[in-house]
Amino acid sequence: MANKRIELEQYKHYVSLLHEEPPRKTVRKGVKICFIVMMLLCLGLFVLAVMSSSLAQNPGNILEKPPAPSAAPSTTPGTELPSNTQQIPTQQQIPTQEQAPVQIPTPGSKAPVDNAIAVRDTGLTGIPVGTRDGDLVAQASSTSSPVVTIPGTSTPTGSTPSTAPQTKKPTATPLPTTNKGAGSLAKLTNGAGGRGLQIYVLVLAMGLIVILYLGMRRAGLEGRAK
Amino acid sequence: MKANVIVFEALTFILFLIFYQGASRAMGKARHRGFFIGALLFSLAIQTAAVWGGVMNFYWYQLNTYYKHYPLGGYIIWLGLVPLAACLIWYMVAATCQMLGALLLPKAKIWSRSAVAGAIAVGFYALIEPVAVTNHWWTFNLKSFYIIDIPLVALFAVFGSVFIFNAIYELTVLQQRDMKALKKFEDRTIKRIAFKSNKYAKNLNWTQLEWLFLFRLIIGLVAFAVYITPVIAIFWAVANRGQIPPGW
Repeated sequence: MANKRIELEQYKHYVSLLHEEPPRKTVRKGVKICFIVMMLLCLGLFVLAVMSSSLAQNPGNILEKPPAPSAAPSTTPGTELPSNTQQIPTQQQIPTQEQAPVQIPTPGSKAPVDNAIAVRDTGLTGIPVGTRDGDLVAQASSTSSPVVTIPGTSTPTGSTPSTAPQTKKPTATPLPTTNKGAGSLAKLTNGAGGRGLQIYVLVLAMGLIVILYLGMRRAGLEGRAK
Repeated sequence: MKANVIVFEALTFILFLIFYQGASRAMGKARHRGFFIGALLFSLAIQTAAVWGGVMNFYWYQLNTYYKHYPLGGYIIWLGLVPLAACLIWYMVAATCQMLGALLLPKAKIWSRSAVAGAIAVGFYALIEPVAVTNHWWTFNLKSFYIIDIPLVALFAVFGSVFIFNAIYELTVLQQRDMKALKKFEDRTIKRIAFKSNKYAKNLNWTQLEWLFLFRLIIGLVAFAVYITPVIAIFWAVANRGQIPPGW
């Protein structure tokens, strides 16, 4: 009876056996299951981090804005673009008049600008099938997808702004729209030979697994001491 | 390659089912049920407030027209503005940290154990957040300092939420204590209205204790708001400006 009381006293910190009284072995097994699941979660996140490291290398990825619902194209099955096309930054990220998109038709353009935008919205690429060189469609596409300027970073891959030289505004000065530290994930990812993120996640996951193992070991030792 | 959110969601659901069984054994069925419901509601309230406040969003996968571009779609189950998977992750992290705190520091005070639990939770979220943000499972729109694209406020929030939740759980469910500062308030509110008595927590039956736990979680939410508001305000004042212009 005394042993039972001591046992209850020791376990009451995380399990109150006074009320539910699950068997001690059951408690230990439950703790082990939980910790193993969390270890698997850590490993799963490591795998997911490895999967997405190519995405993390792009500093514009974190700052990009998802497309507006109206701009969602009605693509037919099989015409979806690969995932890297989602990294094209859109104009709503660029506040102030300094970065306002410029839509100046070049000489020779026939269609009005509004029509050009409407045509652009028919597809993620903004270039419908059948357009020819010099069509206004291409210009509208280029002017409405400006570049997000992040201090110390370059244009994201996948976006190819082809604004005419005479309409291009200087964007060399860093925009004040970013926070300190924003885009640092890309720096981390690009570090250590492009494996910075993987190393970071691996080290963190291993640290957490060690803590979980220590907890599991402690639960086992408590059980063995009885 | 992109880790679609459906992969994260499926992983979370599968692990949750196993974790739930394990935690039921470790904590006891009734206690664990209380913990689970409390954690789900607590995290849901905080994340919903964050979405409402424009701090955090699941926008990328909220747009049906957008996520259809993904071959596997977006989040499947939503609890209002927040996906269920995000709440389940928080619950699993909080439960694990509670057990770890109790196992590693069995003789420490409740506050110390809860602080350790909060610190471990920050470690978990430091692992989860970069992957989440990279793949747009959720994103932040907050004027703050960022470490590997995680706003520092988010890490403070994880620490505070897990700390407060675990402290309330241990105080109410495990140790069945009354707090002097709250005793009068509880006597006048929940105990008088729902229990029709002014019994101490240790003298309540299990159902009453569960209700007291949920009531204290509401107080915990207020405490969390009191804690996080100055943190947000300070970072807001010091940092440059929002990472992404508001309004989307």
